[in-house]
Amino acid sequence: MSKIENMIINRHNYEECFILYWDNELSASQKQVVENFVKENQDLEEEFTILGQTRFVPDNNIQLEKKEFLLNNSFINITNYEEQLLNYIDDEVTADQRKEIERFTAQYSVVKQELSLLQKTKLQPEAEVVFPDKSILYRRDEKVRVISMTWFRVAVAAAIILIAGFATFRLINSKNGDTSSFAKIDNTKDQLSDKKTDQSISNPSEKISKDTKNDLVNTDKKSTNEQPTDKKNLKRTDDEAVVPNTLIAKRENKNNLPEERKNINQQPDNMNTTGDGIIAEATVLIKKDDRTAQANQPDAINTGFEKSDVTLKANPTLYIPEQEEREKGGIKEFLRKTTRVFERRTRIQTTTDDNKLLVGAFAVSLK
Amino acid sequence: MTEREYNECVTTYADNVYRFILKNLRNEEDARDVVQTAFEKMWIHHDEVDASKSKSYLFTVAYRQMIDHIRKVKRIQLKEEFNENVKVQNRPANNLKKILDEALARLGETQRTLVLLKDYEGYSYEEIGQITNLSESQVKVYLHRARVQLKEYLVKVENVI
Repeated sequence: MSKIENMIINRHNYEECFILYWDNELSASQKQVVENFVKENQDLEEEFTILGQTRFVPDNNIQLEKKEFLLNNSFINITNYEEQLLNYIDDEVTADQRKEIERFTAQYSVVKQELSLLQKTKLQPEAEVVFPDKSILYRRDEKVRVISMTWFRVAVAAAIILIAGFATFRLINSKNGDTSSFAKIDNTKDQLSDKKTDQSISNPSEKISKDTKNDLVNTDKKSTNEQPTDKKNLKRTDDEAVVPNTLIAKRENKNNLPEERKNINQQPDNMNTTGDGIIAEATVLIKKDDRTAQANQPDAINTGFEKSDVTLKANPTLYIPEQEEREKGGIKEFLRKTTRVFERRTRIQTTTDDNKLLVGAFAVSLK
Repeated sequence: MTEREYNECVTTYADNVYRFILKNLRNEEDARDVVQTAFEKMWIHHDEVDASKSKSYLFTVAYRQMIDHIRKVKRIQLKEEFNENVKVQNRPANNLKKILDEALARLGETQRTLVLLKDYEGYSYEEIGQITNLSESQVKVYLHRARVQLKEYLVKVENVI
């Protein structure tokens, strides 16, 4: 029996002392006491050796390979690789970081699989999905350039507008004048023809002026050609019966046309003269139509009251509608042409697509 | 931005923005209206818009218009949580796109928007943040969460298949 510092080793407690010995829990002197006890008791030596063999000795051949990813100071490691993979597929890493991630991923199959899955979550744009009608999105700049004008320019513009307006007014008036003079010339021609029939009835050119009163006049003329003396007599009697002597005198004075116009313009009462010319023509026709009837009822035609009726009817129905249409057509055509020229020159449409007229801005193309 | 640049923008980006809105709203007429309104707004302000930033401007306007539309119409229920109750039925094994579309539809509005802006248009976190009025870090976090949810959905589907 040996003594181990306050502990006595004997055949009853030697096992505990042997375990303490192999667990390296004894001091050097205590270990010596245990070893002496084993020598003294040879039958327990085998048991002491077996207990010693139960110990595990570290295998130095086993080593942890690629320990870098355990280092927290690296860009990608075991703790943050998922975040870096997400950054990688979102393309939010630099070129160097990308290479490092790729290198890290190549080393570990688990990480590689994770990256493959994340890459599958990346959506691809569907090229077949397109906006149905892009034409409704396109726009055209319809700005108009407003030119600010000084008072001088405004004055010039106003003057031009006034002159243009005056000229247009004059043009329209002159058209009116032409129309009326045309009527007067006709009357004059009628009067001249009347006169010439008085002088020489057989003149064919004078007869053509009566083209609208064809048949009756022709028949009449034929008859006059056949019986000139009768015609002369008849004409004289017609003139004496229908047209007053004063009117004949006026007709003689009307050979000079301008003077006649002046008289008409200056004396509105003389409008009867023009009317009389038409009336004379109308009455001549009536006489030619119903010569016999006229002979029976001369008063019905010769009354001045009826002459005025014919005058009122003849003027509007013969000339005024054509004149108005000509005026309207002329103005419209003028405006239309002006618009076309403006659009062609400036390449600016004066109307919008929805037929709105651009008003109030003066547009000048800078092209 | 000139008239020509605006019209080029229509030619180049109309389809992109339409895809983006359509994927979010899942209604063609609504998507068309939103895109049209966005372009109208851009035209109204085209004098103030820098041509180089026209795409970003367009997506920003379209995104806000879309959010307004969603709030107004409330056709789509806003969900921030990923829908876990997924029924997998008769799904072809190789139809990844279809599965992914389903997964995308189960994301929340914000997350879906972020994923689409990232994947379809390739915007950076910063640009996405400007469009959606989120911080860059918020974009990053939301987008990563969305991506993980998509991945988990794919794994789940693949497991089922």
